[in-house]
Amino acid sequence: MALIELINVNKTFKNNPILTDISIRFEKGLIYGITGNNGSGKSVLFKMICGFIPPDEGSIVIDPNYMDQKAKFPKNFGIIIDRPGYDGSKNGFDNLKTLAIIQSLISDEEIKNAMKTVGLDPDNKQKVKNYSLGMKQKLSLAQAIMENQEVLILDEPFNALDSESVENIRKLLLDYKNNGKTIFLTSHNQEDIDLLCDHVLRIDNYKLVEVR
Amino acid sequence: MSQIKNTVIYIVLCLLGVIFAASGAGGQTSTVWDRLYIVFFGFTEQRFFMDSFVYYCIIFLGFVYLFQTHLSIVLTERIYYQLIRYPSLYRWFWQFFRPVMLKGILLLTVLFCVTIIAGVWEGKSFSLTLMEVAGSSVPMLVYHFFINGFLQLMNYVLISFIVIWIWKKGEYSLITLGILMVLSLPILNQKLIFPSGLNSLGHVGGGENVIVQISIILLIYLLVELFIIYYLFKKRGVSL
Repeated sequence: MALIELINVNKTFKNNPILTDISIRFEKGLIYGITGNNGSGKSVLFKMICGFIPPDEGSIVIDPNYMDQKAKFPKNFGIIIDRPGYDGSKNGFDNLKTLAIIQSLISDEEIKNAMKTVGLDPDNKQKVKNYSLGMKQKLSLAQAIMENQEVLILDEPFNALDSESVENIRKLLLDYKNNGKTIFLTSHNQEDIDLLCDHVLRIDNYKLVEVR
Repeated sequence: MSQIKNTVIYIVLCLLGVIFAASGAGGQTSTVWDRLYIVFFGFTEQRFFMDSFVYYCIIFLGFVYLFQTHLSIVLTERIYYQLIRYPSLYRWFWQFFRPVMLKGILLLTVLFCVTIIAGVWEGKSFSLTLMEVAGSSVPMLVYHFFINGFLQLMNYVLISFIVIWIWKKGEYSLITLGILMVLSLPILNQKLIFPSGLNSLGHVGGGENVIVQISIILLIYLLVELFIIYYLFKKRGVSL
């Protein structure tokens, strides 16, 4: 069974089409790159896959191993969607801890390890409102991976990162893929897509077209 | 202004009103229950005092304003990172709403205790009689303060939740507050139709039937609001 299957999915917003008749299967253990112009519907596609917004027509089927019965949202998914959203008055660790408490799956040590993995100092007491854009982006990445999520949906994960950090995150994502994780990502940098993705899809005229 | 500063200002205003008896009449009452009645008189179709109305708005709509500010931040900044860790929107809503309910109960309890303590401090009697309202009782007053107060507060909160969930804009939340204030005016709410201002202690003067009627009205509105939220979650999800 496919990890995620979209069957004849349509989505409109205020009578404007966003995605039309999308049918596609996403398999486990691969990196998928989704490209498209600004406002083409990449974020909407991700939100629908996560169950945050329902399709107007069609259906999205998630492998039952990633979806509890009666649940609306998949489990074991790590995401970066829209923007890195944090409580600016807390430090990075406390922000992640607030999210980790929801499921209580990981220890403080695992949160700190996730921060170190993306290049953040877990003992830094600086409030997030004083973080640079790159640090905020790294914090987003740490939140997406900290619970050892099996599926990562990353909207522009390389935004605002310096070249060294981009290298680190690329390596990290390739390691994850080699360990069987599935990754969806968008990037405006073609090099990220070329280097990382097994399949590349483009949203063009409300359709999802396979590019590679 | 940060949420913490807003909260501090809100708490200070609430406490100042209680301690210095917002209506100015608090000092002339003879029992602590009369003092509670006067401080939280609010407004009714029979009696309207501007200072009581303003104090009511500060306490109850101030609470909703703080809630709206928090909700707006969560919805625009953090919602997806929270949601992906819950099995459904309903579970998220319950986890989000539970602390709001507890804060509502805490608010009423603190206001009640501080009012009573301030009354004792002023040397008022603890005797279980209400001199200000003929034919009414202290248990009814306390019931109305806590039960209808809580139901009214939750009505305000759910209405603002619905508005923000649909439009996700801070300006709309301010407009909602304004509409709620206008709907609170006695001239518009003589029949107790709108779920606004119904927890004013002034209604205790209407007798037991009115108090029970208010509870039922507020409960019905709460059920309708919960149904609307259920519908929004099912049909629209987190919106676009």
